[in-house]
Amino acid sequence: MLLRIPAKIPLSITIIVLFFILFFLQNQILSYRGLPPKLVIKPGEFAILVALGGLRGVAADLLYLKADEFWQQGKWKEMLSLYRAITILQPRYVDYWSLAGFHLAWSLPFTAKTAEEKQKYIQQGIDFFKEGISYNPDVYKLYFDLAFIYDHKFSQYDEAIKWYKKAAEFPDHIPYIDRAVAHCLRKKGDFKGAYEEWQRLKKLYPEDKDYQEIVALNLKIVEEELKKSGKRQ
Amino acid sequence: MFLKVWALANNTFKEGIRRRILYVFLIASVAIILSSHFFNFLAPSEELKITLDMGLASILFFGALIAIFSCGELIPREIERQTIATILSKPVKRSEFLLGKFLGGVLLVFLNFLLMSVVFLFLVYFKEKFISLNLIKALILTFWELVVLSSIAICLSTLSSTPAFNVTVTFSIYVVGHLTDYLIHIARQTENLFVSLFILIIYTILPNFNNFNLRDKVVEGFFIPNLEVVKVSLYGLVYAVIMLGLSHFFFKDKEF
Repeated sequence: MLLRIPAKIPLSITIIVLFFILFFLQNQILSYRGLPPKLVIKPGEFAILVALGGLRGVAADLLYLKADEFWQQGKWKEMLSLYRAITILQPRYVDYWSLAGFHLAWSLPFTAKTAEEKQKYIQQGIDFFKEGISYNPDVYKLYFDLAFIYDHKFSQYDEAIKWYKKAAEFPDHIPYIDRAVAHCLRKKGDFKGAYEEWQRLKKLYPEDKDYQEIVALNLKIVEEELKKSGKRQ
Repeated sequence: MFLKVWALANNTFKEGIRRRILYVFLIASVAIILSSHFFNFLAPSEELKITLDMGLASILFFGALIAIFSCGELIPREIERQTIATILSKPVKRSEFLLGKFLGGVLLVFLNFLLMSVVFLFLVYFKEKFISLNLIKALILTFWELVVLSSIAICLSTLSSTPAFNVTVTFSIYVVGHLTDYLIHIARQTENLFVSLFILIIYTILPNFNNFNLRDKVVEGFFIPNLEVVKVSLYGLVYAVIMLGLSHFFFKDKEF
């Protein structure tokens, strides 16, 4: 006697198997995307993200327009709180981090009344860039922005070199970053290191005349400084 | 079998294009896509980003509304008008009926999606004199997202014959599906194995609409591998098949 299997059983088994395939595919897709940004946000902000669904890009654009308006009116604090919201909405859009960090580290210190306040803004800019890097570790721009602050605002050249070098690891980085490392070495007084760095850079773009001119000029400056420091010693 | 399915799909499509609400969505979408051009003067440095963001978001949002409203009401309307009994009294299997309805709905969604995409691509070409392959890939995956949403709408409509319920629940799933991604964090942070397993099951069962989201990558100019597009499309296909399987499961013994 043949056992009659209810028609729904094979269908149920097929659906379960398909869910396993779906789980496998989901893991495959995650390998391309990486884990989603781990957002440290308040419940209210999370509710906004839920409500927006797939329209976060548009919301970020509209807030950006408003932030731009605040910038033109000189309403810095209002502008920055909007940038905070914008980076929550689109944490993977590097330009927003870059622009907001720039305003914190470069624009706001001009409005500061005391040196302490000025330093506070610059430090906030640094923290902002570091947060941006945690969401976008695969883009050179924010490493460069961070190094630039350490270089020109704090004169902390070791820290600047560290971040410039990280930015230089990306193949699409701008050539200036290579030169910035050499400049920092010279500024911190390591003329020998700077000389070796410029020698290394000389070999990078042999056919670029402008580039070679810049390198030659800097090599000459560093050579002279090396001689002077040698005489002093 | 194919002929029967095609006849049903064709009929569903023809019925669907007569519905005025879909034209409203289509016109609203085209208007928003075109209006993105006028936002540009407000932020000259972000011109292309705004056009891409607004265009892709409008196609997705209005495409989703079209999918939800057209597919969520297909079966309840047949039940309400009692035409379902006439169709099923003929030599048409229930699975063929479901498949025909689904394909008709998808065809309707595709037509609207195509019209919106053409307007959008025309606008991008008008501004940039160039259309990137990334943009086409993003549009392909947006369409797959709409297919998945259509299949969910069909599945829900086999459970409930109230169109308002179907539309509301499908729209809720559409919103929640954009946040499924974050469940993986919760699953990894939870120390309790059973809770973690439970969250992983929910994570797999719920559609992950972020998989189809290449919009941010397009705007940010990241490289999108072809294999990624293939795998996400496959994810969409498997999810739609599961939803159709579940629809058949619920619809098989339903009495009218």
